[in-house]
Amino acid sequence: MPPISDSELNIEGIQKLLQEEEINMQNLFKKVLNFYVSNDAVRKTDDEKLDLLKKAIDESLK
Amino acid sequence: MIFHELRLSNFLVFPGEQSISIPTKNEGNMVVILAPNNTGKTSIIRALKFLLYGHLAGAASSFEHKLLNDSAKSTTAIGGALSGWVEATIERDGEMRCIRRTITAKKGSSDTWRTAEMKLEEIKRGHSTVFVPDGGTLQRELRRLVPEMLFDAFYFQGEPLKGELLGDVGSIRKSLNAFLHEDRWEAAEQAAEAAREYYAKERLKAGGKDVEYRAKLEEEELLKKLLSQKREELRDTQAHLSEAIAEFDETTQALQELGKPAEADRLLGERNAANLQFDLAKRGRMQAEAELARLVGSSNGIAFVLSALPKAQKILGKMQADNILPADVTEGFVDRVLAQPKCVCGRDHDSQTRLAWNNYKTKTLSADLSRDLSDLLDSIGGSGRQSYVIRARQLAGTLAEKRSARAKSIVNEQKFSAAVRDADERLNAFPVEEVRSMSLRLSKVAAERQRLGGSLQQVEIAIRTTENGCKRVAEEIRRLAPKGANSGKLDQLKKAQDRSEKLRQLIHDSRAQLNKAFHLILQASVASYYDGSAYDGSSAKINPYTLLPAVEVNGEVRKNLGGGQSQLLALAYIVSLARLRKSLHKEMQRLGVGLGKLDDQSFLLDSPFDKMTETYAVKIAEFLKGNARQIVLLLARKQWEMVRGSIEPSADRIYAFDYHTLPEKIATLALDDFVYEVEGKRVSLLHKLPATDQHPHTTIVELV
Repeated sequence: MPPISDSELNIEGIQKLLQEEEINMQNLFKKVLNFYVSNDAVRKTDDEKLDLLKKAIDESLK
Repeated sequence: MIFHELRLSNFLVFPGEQSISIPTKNEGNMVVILAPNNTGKTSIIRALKFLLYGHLAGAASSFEHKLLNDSAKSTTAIGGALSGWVEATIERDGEMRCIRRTITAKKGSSDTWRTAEMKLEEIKRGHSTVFVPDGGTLQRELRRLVPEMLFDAFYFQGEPLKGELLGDVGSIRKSLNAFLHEDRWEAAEQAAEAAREYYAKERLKAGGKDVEYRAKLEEEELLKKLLSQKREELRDTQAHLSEAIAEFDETTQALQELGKPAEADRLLGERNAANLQFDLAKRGRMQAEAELARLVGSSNGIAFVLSALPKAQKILGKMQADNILPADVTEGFVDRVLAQPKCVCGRDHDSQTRLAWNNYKTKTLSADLSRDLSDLLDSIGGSGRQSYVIRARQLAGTLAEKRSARAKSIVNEQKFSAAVRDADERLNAFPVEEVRSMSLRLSKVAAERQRLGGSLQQVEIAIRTTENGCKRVAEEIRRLAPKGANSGKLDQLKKAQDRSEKLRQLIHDSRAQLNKAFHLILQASVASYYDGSAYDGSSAKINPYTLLPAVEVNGEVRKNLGGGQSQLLALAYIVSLARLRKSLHKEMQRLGVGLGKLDDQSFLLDSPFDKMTETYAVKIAEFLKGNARQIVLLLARKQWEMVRGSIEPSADRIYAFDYHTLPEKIATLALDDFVYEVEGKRVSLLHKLPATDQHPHTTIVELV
């Protein structure tokens, strides 16, 4: 039986959503995911992450 | 997480330092550990659980020293300390890391111990070896790599995964959330919402003392929350409606393939009509036969004597031609007799004899008798209306008609009997019950579809109303907004609030897309592994909401699965899950999210072929080969014998647990369980302890 191909997970749906947004929003989204979803997330507390999030929001409005 | 090496020291049944090295060079690596029952298979799993979570498995807290090896404990001096540990070299994100969890205990007396310390460390080996104690980060990381609730899936202990994995259980779902990082996405969404609420509160503060303005801000907040809820409800309803539509279409299709309910009635009608025709034909045949019998009976044997008539006709005709019919014969004969003086009897003629002879002559010359004879000749002659030949011909004609009618009836009888049998067969083959239940299901789904359609409309109306409300309030807020120095700040806060809301929505929608993608992949992968191997025509189905597996037959979830079947499903699922996570990491990297490059999952399976047929065992063994980067199988002898043909050629390494025990204990063991055939050689894994050692233990030996 053929094993699942690694390239088969298709996140086109997410990419389409991002393409509909302006570049600042796209960058904000990726930053926030890095704060919360990446491996580094375990190294920060929730408050630290929320502060980083607010700063990123403010910067994206400049 | 991939293991390169597992090392144990004075842990459970393993005295001293022992290790298992696991190859990792190929895409699929398999290590087999041949281990008779009760020699340490479960101890390996317990060791892993201890290493990853500090799990004590049977040893209550403050009794951790029970995990230390008995042999080692017996040789420790009273007052002395003994350490036992489990250590592993793991591969994580392309890097090798070494972690160790240690128990240290102090011996109070010959049979009392006190746990002194338990610690988790990372070992950095370079010019020197440094032990870095964990402050909590390493433990959190380990829990993320393999959530504890999923540990039993990847490192299971001989029991097929039934209740936990194959069902909608909350705790397993939570672990799946962690394994696929859905919990982190949820945390990001909640954080965006928390940021939005923060900015909303800041706007209220910056609004000053204007009561009306503040009231409007609060109203806007409520309306936005309501709008967000309604939009969520809309998405859910749309999703459910899509499912209902899909199920409706699927059920309609299935029903068309099975046959319509009216089809059964039509077949029944056909059968009844054929039966009626058969009865008519049968009756026709019987009538024709009765008529034939009557005709033959009433023919006075004409048909049978007709063959004799030509001869009789010939004789009588000749007699007539020779004038020797009774009338002719009698007159001449009587005159000749009377001319003689004596009668034929010898007496002299007298008046009496002459009278008798004249009476005789009168009788035989009677016109009636002659007429009768003439009539008989006519009858035989066949020219008269009542002649035998004419009558026989007429009878033959009628008989032929009746025989033809009978033959036709017989043909029809056979034809309609076959039609009845055919209709019966088709009726028996028609899945009446299935069609009925499918029709019922279709009605239910149709009703649900209608209900959801109605709900959708209502939610859409509610959203429009709320959106209008939001616009109205936004306008009022603009009108009431304080002018002056604060207006710039208020403006900025509003933008930040809107941006947080947009971010939250984007994360939310992305999670939905991700869940959809997970479902598609898991469904395809698990089905590809399971469907072809299951004997009962069942198929694997992944729930789109929980992402948990189930087995379906004809659209119905099957609850009670056999051992082999549930094991196959569970293994297909966890292998698919592990590969999905690896794929997820790659895709996230492409998106610019740092989840790490390499994240294969290892599987350590204790007795995975227990409680199943050999056929399922071989199928599972074949499936495991090459479908995970690292698989370690712990097998007792019977399971080894079942799957040896499939596994031995593919195994990268074969270890064995040599069991050392007391001589009197050996006598109680089933010795065959300790003898394995490996690479054509018989190997015994049972050894007698020397007299100086009273503690059974296990040593790990590399065979191949």
